[in-house]
Amino acid sequence: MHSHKVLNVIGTVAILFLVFPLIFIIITSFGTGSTIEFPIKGFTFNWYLHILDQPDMISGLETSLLVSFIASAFGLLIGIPAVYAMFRGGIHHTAWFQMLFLSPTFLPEVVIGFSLYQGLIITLHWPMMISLIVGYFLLGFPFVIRLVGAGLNMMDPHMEEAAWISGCSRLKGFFKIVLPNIKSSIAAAFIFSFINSFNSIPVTLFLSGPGFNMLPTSILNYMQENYDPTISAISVILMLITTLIMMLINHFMGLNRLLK
Amino acid sequence: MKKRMILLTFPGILALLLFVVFPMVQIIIPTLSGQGSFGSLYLNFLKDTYNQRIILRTLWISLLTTIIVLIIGVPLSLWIARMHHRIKKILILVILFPMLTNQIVLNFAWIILLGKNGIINHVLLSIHLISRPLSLLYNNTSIVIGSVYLFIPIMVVSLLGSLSHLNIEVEEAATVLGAHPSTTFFKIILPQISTDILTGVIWVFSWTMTSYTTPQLLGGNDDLVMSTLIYQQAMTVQNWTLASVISIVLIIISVGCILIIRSLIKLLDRRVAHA
Amino acid sequence: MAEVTIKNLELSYDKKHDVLSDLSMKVKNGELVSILGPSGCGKTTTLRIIAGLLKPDHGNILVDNHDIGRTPVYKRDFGMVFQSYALFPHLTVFSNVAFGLKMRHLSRHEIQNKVKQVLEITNLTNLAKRFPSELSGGQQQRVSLARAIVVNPRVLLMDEPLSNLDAKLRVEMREDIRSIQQKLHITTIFVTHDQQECFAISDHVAVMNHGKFEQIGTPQDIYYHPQTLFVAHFVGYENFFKVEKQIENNEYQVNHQVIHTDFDHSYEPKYLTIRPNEIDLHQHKNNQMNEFNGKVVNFSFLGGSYRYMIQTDLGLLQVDQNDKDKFDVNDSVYVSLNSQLVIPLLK
Repeated sequence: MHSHKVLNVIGTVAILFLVFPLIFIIITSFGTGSTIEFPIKGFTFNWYLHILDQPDMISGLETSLLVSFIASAFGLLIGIPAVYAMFRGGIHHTAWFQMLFLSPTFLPEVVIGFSLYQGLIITLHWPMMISLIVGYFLLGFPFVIRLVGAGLNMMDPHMEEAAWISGCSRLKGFFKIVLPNIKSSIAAAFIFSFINSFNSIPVTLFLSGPGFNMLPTSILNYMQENYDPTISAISVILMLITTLIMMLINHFMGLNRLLK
Repeated sequence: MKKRMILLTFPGILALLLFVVFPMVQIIIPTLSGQGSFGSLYLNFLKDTYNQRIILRTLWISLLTTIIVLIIGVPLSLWIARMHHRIKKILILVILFPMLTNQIVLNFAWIILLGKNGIINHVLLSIHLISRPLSLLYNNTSIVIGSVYLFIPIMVVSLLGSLSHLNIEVEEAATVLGAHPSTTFFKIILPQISTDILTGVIWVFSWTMTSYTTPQLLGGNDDLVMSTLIYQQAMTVQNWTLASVISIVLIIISVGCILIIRSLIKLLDRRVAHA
Repeated sequence: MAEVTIKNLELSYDKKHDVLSDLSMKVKNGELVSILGPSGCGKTTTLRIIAGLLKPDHGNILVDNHDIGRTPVYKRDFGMVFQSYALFPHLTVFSNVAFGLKMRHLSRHEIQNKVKQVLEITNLTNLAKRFPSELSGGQQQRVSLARAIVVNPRVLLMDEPLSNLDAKLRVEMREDIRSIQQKLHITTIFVTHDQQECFAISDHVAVMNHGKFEQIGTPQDIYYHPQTLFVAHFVGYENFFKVEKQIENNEYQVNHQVIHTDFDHSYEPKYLTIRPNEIDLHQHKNNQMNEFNGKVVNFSFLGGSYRYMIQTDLGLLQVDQNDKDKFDVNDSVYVSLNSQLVIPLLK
């Protein structure tokens, strides 16, 4: 296939458009000036060390990781049995179940955050952390339904039947045969819910507050008062987390499968 | 057996009833009665010219973003789809990276680039193209730029799958019949992926419309969109009822747009089936 | 190693459309019985009911005269080979085969021995450590058979086990299946749509159509003495004559002509039928019984023989003739139907 010049130009420019801003962040994070500057006049790692002097960011990172992890695990725990029942349980009207389970995707994140703030914090007086776990759970749950559902659909249903005939009860068959064969879908669902929770901003803004600091809120707070390379440095850290996530996805399902 | 199976869905159903349905009902109820007749709060909100401007601004930004994403995203996807396997894999990584990166980072990049002391102004000043720094940041344009940057990958991801599976012989047949490459692009390739393009449009349009972070970070204080207005009313002004009203309006507009495009997809699908 | 009885099995879809109606059958100890029929006739559904994977609306499955209707699948002690093989992709060949034994809580030592033994029988000893994805179709098939028989099942169920293999391998495998089945003396129910395959390995065949058994008998019975139009069609009969009335004991009127049959029957036939290769084609009138004048409409070469379409007073006939006497289109010919081989059909 001979590619065309026009396509080459547009493609190259678009890729540069996507890559360059991120490269500028990386470069500015090493600048010696007290504000963000380009080109940088010297080279230093100090801004990365400066992150360690921001207790809000450090504790925010810890809580963000923890809350995202709990919420994603919670999503799997509730989602996997539901998906199994929907796709393998012979239940009727699965379309209705799907619609309910995927409903969070149709709600703007701002609205999810606001409605949980009203419903859980104001009305039910639930603690911030529990409410935030709920919010993150809602962001991740549709991934569990979609990805684990796709994994189950790809699995030969006769496999499970073969196990039953070999003398395996339904429950045992689920753990011995079904789970091992959908584990990569489960891993993918976990990673996607995790990163979506971890990156979520509106839901976090509504459901965190003084005394309960998350990473996005602490960065935004810092940004309001400062314009120095610390922000570039923490951005680079976040990009490293993205890289790690991409490696995990590639390991568990292959990045190409995302585009099928 | 079926009865026991349905029990497995109960935790999920319970969770979504408690965490989606209950909170939504909770915010809808006060907006229905209010002071005055049924729906008066909505009418009052929509009658206000300030609010109308915000709604129109939100729609305008979403529309502009979607169009630019289309113009860049469609050729970009085709370009990537036709690459050799190894380069293609690298390009896919480049596309996926922003999708999995925190939006603060993506928007912060544009603050660095577009700010008064930003890189673009710095370059323009140093080559004496301008004498005073331009104010590129904190307006509708910067919101659109940031949103385009955020959502190009979404468009590419929704197109790449079907573009990679296109039968190249169809294009070759057109070329043999005398079609210019641009004709082939518009008359042969685009019609084959029209439903995927519309799916991409749904995502880009509705996500731009409901996204909070970009307008918050790149928009000015006078350039509120609906999502930032919700946050402002809820958390700064503490006018929860109004925030609820805006939330419902936002959901109705975004779901409405999705449904319109969906029915367009169905129409196109039927046309493809008949052809 | 048991006797299976199926009694009045019924299943309907939405309580309206019958999928299976009134199926009854008996499979004796150590027998291999095939259920033969076109796709969609309900044969796999029947097998799944026997396995316990589906519940019938009515009817009973008895194993050694015990109703197993309420026994869950995993307690039935059956073996099953699936069309897709359904091997466990995350387990090695050895572990796939050992799976059922582990479920029965056998000792490590016993499992080792039994698996080894079965892998030997199925010729898989060298592949024990491989994973299913590293095997060819035929090998996967054998693993699936090994997994089913290792537990010494009371009944072995096979759902189109050979349909995913190529033609040559299919013949090999069916012979292997037959010899293993006979050696181990396992009561087996085998579902297939391939009549040749089914005739080659079965003790009895149940021909199925639209959820009903059309005829149950030995392969020879089915082949030589089909009882219904459907069965005759399915096993290669081509010429069918609708009986207008009975003239004498063995003579029937067809299209204003008379056909004589010497086939022994006690019922009133609706149709008569004969295979294309059992009609004789000749140039001159022989004054035999069942002889009719006709004209060659067209012919085609089948390799070794010709198939002629002959227009006669009986209607259009298909006749297979070897190439010793060659006829051309529009030739006037005589056909004679061997009265021993004119089969009267019940319906």
